This record gives sequence, C-alpha cells and structure tokens, in this order.
Amino acid sequence: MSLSVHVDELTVRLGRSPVLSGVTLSAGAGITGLLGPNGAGKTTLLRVLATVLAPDAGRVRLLGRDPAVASDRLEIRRRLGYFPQEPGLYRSFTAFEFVDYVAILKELTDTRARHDEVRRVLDVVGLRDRAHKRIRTMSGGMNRRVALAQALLGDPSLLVLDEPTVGLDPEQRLRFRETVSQLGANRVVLLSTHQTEDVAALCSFVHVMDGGRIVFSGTPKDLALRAAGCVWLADERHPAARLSMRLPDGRYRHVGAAPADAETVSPSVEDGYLMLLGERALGTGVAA
Amino acid sequence: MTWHADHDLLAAYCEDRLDHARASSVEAHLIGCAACRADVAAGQDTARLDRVWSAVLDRVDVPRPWLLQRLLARCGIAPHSVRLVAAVPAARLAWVFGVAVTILIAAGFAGAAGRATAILLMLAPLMPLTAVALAFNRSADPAYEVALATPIPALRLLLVRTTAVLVGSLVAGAVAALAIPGVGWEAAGWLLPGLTLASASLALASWLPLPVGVAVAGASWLALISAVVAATGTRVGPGLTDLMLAADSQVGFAALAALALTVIIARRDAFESLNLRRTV
Repeated sequence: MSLSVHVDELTVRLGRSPVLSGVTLSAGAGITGLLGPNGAGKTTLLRVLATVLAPDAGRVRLLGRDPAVASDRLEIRRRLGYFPQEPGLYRSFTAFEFVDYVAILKELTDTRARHDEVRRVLDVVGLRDRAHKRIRTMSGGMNRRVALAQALLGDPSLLVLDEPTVGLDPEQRLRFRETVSQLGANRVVLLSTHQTEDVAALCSFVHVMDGGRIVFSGTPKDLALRAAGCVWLADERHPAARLSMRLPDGRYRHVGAAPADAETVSPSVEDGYLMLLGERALGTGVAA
Repeated sequence: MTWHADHDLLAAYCEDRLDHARASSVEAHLIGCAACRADVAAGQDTARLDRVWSAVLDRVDVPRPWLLQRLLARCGIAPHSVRLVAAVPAARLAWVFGVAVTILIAAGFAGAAGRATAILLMLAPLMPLTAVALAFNRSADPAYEVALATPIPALRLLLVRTTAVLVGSLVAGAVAALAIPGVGWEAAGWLLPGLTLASASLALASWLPLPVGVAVAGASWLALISAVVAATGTRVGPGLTDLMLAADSQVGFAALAALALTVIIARRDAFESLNLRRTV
C-alpha cells in the first residue's frame, strides 16, 4: 500500500454553495499541514480524506486506493486513524473504555491483544496513568489526548488530525506537538490547524486554503518567504503596515509593504501567511 | 545464604509444576538468594511471563463491566459485541424511557377487564423503537464520525444494537406481564409485531434516515390499530387482544418481519455507503 494521498479537482457542495472548489493536492510520508482561516474548507477536505464525506466531483486516492469503491474504502479504513474536529467522546467512559470501544470498531476483537494495543496508545499520548479516569473529569487537553489515542490504534498508515491543538493551553500544546512530531515517520499525517506555530514546528510541507481552494503549496520556509522584505522594525508605528506589533523594547515590528529605507528582518511562517491571505488571515475576512 | 535450590527444583517452579507449599518454600528462598534468582531468570519462559503480566494488567486496567454488560455476557454474547451494544448512552436512556412509559400506561389500566393486556399489546411493539432510532445516529452518538471512519460495517452495528434492544424489551415485557394485575400470558403477543416494526424501521433506513424510518413504522402501527378499532367498533380491550393473538394475525406479522429482513439483506450495500451526507 503506497504511503500517499492524491486529490484531484475535488468539489464538495453542502446545500447549494460549494465548500470545496477544484481542490488538487498531494501528500506523502511525513506531516503535511493544512492552514487556513475559519470557513476555508479544511474540515470538509479532511472529512473527505477520512472517508466520512463523499465528494460531489473529483478524484481521491488514499494509500493507493479509491475510497469511492466499497472494498477499497474498507481497506483504507483499516489503515486510517481519524481525529475529527469534534472528538466525540463518551463522557461517562474512562479513557481506557473509550479507546477500547474504538478498538472494537477497528476490528480488534481478540481481547488480550486489544487491551495491549489500548495500553500502547494511551502510553504514546501520556495517559497510561490516567487510563481509569472518567472522561468527564479530565481537562480539555487530556480529552484531546484520548481522541489522539483512539486515532493511533492499529498503527495507521494515514493519520488525519483536524485541529488537534485548538483550545489547548501553551504547555498542553507543546506536549501535543511533541507527541505528534514523533508520528510522521512511515506514515502520512495530515494536520489541519489555525496555528502557524504548529506548522512551523511540525510540518515538512504545508497547503494553505482559502474560500474552498488551495492558494499555496510548499514548505513552511517557502511560506515564510512570501513575506521576505515585508517585515521590518521601526521606532514608530507605520500607518501602511498590515500588522504592527509593539515589542518589549518599545520598537514596532511591522508586516506589510516596507518603505525603501526599512530595517527588514527575517519573516516567520506567520508573516508569510499574513502576506498571503491579507486581512482574512487575521480573522476579519471570510466568516465560517 | 549457604545453600541453593537445585536446578531441577527451580525448573519445576518455573514451569508451575510444584504444589502450593513447595512453591511458597522456593519463593521464600528466592527472596533471600540472588544466585537462585539469577538461575530462575535465566530459565524463565519470557512468553509466559508476558502473558501473565498482560493478564495482571488486564485485571488492573479493565474497568468492571456494567450490570447490562454482565447480563449480556452471561447470555453468551461475545465481550466485544457487548461493548458495541452498551456504548451509546442516549440509546440506553431512550430504551429505559420507552419501557417505563409502556409499563406505566399498562399499569394504569391494571385489573380493568382485560384492558391492560390490550394496552400492553398495542404499545409494547413501540417500546424499543426510540432506542432503535438512536442505535447509530449522528445526533445521538458523539462518536458517530469516529465510528464512520472505522472498518466496522454499519449494518452490523445496527443489527447488534437492535437485537439487544429487542431482547431487553422482551425481558421488560415479561416482567410487566407478571407484575401488572390483569395481564396474562397473552401479553407475549406483542413479540412478532415488535420484531416487525423494528425490522421494518431498519429496512426503511436503507432509503431514509433511521429516525424517519422509525417514525413511519410507528405511525403505521398506530394507524393500523386505530383502523382495526374503528372497523370492529370495539374499544381497546379483550376484542383487540383476541384479534392480535389470532393465528392469522401472528402469521401476518411474521410474514411482514420476514419481508423486512429480506429487504435489509438485499439492500445491505446501502448501509455501507453511509457518510455524513447520507446518515442513518
């Protein structure tokens, strides 16, 4: 089974309006990021790639198979781990019970082997000691780790993670990143996020979506270079900058069309994203 | 330590061939003798140790099953199937609610010249339907999207959960028949209509969302009962009971249930193409 994802001219309509329009992308082994503002179509695309939403048009190949064909879809699901945007946990279950339930859905019917696998994935996400806690008593960060644990069952070749770091505090986000960073070897990981820091820290490749289309594909460094020469420092706030941030030393870091004599600095992925999407990157454009 | 256990004795201990007293004696020695512990470690079957350790972890890790799970396991149902049945909290609550309402209404007519039996026969087939509607449903099951992305056949989930609901309803109906004054063995007459409505709901779910299929099946049943009551000019009472228990009626219910099951089998592929756009 090939470790690849190919999407060609994908269109999805929900109601009358298209949510995805002619999306074409590829991903191979490693962590591929999907970045974009609310309403860009990231979740819809990931639902198609997780085989839980059928597209209206276009071709999809997951791990070398066609999810529109029932037998292929079954094989894909056997090699798939999915972390949906809403993790959908049973709050009265313990972490062990919930992951064990999903393991049954994933055809792990031998009790001993299944329980060993449940322990393994809870260990991977750092919840081995909290396996007996009821999900309703866990923090949001731990909830998301339970959801990641179920996605890792069976050591999937394709891992689809839809905004796994949303709502996490800084420490939880770092721990989550640490775990996800170790998952990219020997599998395709598709990671949707709002966070440019997640992309910079984790992804070898990134697609930026806006308005149901792919508007950028490249490495995080390529994305950062979109703002090359557009980030500069100055003593005063510049009215033409798209974004001006006052630094602790009292100076201003600007992003936008730099004046000719500006003191430019290296751009970050966030700067490149801002230059690419303009106001929409700041959440003031297209609504969800 | 001035003496050591001989090799044969330690081998017998490792292979679990010693009686309890001798094994305890060897263990007491092993606690104080590093050389014999090393000998035991060298001769150990590591695969057996892994199995034992795994069993220990299972005792520690796996939560005690709920009452419902234990009952189903006692009936010989595989543990993983039991977990599939017991998973959806909303379906469990809906089933309990349906059973409680049916029994309370029937109990309200206790002792009223055969009316309780007729009421039970009329309402009991509807008892499992709400739980069937929620058996694998996007709005009732928080993990619906996760489940869709797994290889388990959706039809299997539906059939396992529907069967569990029907069996549970059978037990509840039997308890009600025994507990409510004026209700006799005739109450068992709801079983075939109940099976018919549940299977018809699933058959309709190969075209419609399952809750809609359940609503259509339930409304059809109430319409049929109303038509029969109107046509015979009798109130809900012994006349309705006799009609439902008549051999022709029961054969008719069985035929309808068989037809619905045939439709489910013929259209099983429709359940395997489920996604967030076409749900049950």
